[in-house]
Amino acid sequence: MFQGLELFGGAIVSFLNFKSLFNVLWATELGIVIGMLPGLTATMGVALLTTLTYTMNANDAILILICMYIGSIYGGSRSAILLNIPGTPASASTTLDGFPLAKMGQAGKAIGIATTGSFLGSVIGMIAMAIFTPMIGNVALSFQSFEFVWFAIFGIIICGNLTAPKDPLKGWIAGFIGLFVAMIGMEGIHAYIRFSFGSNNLSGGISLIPAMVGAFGFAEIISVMRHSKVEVIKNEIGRILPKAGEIFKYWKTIIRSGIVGTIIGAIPGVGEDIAAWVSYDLAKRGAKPEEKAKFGHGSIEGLIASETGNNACVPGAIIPVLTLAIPGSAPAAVLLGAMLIHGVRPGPLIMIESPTFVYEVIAMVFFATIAMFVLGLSMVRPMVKILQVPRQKLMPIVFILCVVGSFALQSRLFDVGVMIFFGVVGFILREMEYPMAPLVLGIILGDMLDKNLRRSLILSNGNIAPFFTRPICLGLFLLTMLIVVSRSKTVKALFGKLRKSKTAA
Amino acid sequence: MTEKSMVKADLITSIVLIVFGIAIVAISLQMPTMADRNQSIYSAPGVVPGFIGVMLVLLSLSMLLRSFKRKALSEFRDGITPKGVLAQESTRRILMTIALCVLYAFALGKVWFPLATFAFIFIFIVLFEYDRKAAFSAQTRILIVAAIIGIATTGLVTLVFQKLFLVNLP
Repeated sequence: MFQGLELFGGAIVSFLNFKSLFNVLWATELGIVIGMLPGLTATMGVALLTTLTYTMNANDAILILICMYIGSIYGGSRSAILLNIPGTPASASTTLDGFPLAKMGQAGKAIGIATTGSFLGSVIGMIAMAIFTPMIGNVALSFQSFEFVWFAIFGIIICGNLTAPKDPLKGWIAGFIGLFVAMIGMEGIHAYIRFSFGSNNLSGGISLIPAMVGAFGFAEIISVMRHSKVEVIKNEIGRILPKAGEIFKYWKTIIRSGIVGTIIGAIPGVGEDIAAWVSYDLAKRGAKPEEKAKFGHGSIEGLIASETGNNACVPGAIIPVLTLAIPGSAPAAVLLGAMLIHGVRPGPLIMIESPTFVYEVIAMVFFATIAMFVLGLSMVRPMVKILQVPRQKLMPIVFILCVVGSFALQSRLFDVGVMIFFGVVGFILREMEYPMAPLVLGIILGDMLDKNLRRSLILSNGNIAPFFTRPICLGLFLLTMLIVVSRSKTVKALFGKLRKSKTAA
Repeated sequence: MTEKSMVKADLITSIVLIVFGIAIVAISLQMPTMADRNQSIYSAPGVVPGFIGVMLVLLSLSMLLRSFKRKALSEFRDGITPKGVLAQESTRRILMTIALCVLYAFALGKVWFPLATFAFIFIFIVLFEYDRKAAFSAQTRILIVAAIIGIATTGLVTLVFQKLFLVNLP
């Protein structure tokens, strides 16, 4: 415990220099702008900065990426409040109460409350991260191939289930398509080249960053360009700094949303958007009747719930990145990719190999959170101007960034093609309600599944019993089955009947 | 998408995915087992893709059955594309965006990067803002603004990426 505090203190001090603080400021502010602009998501922002920072040293680069991540998830609330359009999917539930508040002429108040909520959420997430990362890291040390196979499958199933609530089947299909994409190229045990059909480019595999820039950047551009213009609220912004009493009245909601957001962040691939929806929903259910009626019509509690939830999700999503090398959300997936590019090896060994790195990441989250709070409450009015730029002027520029970002890492035009392919296919799949998150998670977990499934079958000589008898395996198997079975219609119908017969009796 | 066209889309995609899944399994089965190199058969490169292929077939099969239950076949009597989709303004905008972006990406490596980038931004803005009914002065303004944005972006991107962050450009 004290050793942890010591390492954290050391990490904080190591960032207290002009260069790091300057990086924190510009990266967070850029994050807020990117988050604000519909069509530019957090994933896209982190991916773009990964390519820009890959010549820097690891600590500077990852600091910048984390600031971008936290800034952009928060920044989405700005356009949600002022335009009724979430700047990133994470702020979709923020529009419900943020926009009505802005229409009532309380845009400034809504922005102030959203900023404070995001700040508190991020702080709760950071504390959870500091406590649980070392703990989970120690438990993960005992995991073997068998457990990692289940983590990969469980990740796909739970991510598909939560990101496609209407139709989990499509979420699971998207996940397995992602796993397949990861199979393309040279495999890690015999160096055999799979599914390349003689193409040199394909034999190198599909790189994560171009695929993600396509699925989250280009696909987003297409869907933004579909509609013509939107109106920005021209009302007075008003007072921005919130009154302390206004916030602390809702301390229960803040703590609940913070915890819920962090937990959802830690679930593989399930990101900020779901965290915000779930914490919004829980807040609505738990609200007093007179407050409940205001939800959807400008409730401050609702606004706090969704903004606390989505920002608490960020540190939550980084926990499994560090301890298991499994991303908790789409932007965290890019972050994981960036760590690997910079030679950091996240995973169960991290607490042994580089314990200082874990605390450095926590310190990075700390600086980013403070920068987000300060920058969020200042320079609100000039920032609103950016939102008034028409989309047909902005989107071609965003596309150029997508192209340069995909190209920059390996200087291959093939990667630009990958970006375009994933953008168009991603757009079509999204139209048919296939979520993108499990697909991307699949691309990352594919390698893990590939190596560990074969390794464990070699270890057990083809016996599949260990997959069900090892305690953690059994737990993950039961959880996976529970998710699948609970979504099947027959089971739902059965429970419906049981409930009916109970109420009848 | 409406519920009816979704049922149709599900039917078509499930068939495509079943074929895709079977193809994956077939290719995986043809991969070497590595047994001739004295390696465990469980280390064969085809094991995991084969498993993924089987899972894809199973999942798409259940989607196929579901779309039959939702009477997907009878929906096809009205034709494959839902009426009016192609004539919609939004469809036109989507296709125009994709076409412009694909053209630009295709030109890279063949045309000098700053030139291609400027042309792309200029054409994109002009095409989406062009209004036949607008006055001549307004139309020239669009052209001038588009040109300025094009030049500024091209300059900034080249400068920031190449000089500041030392990144290669196409």
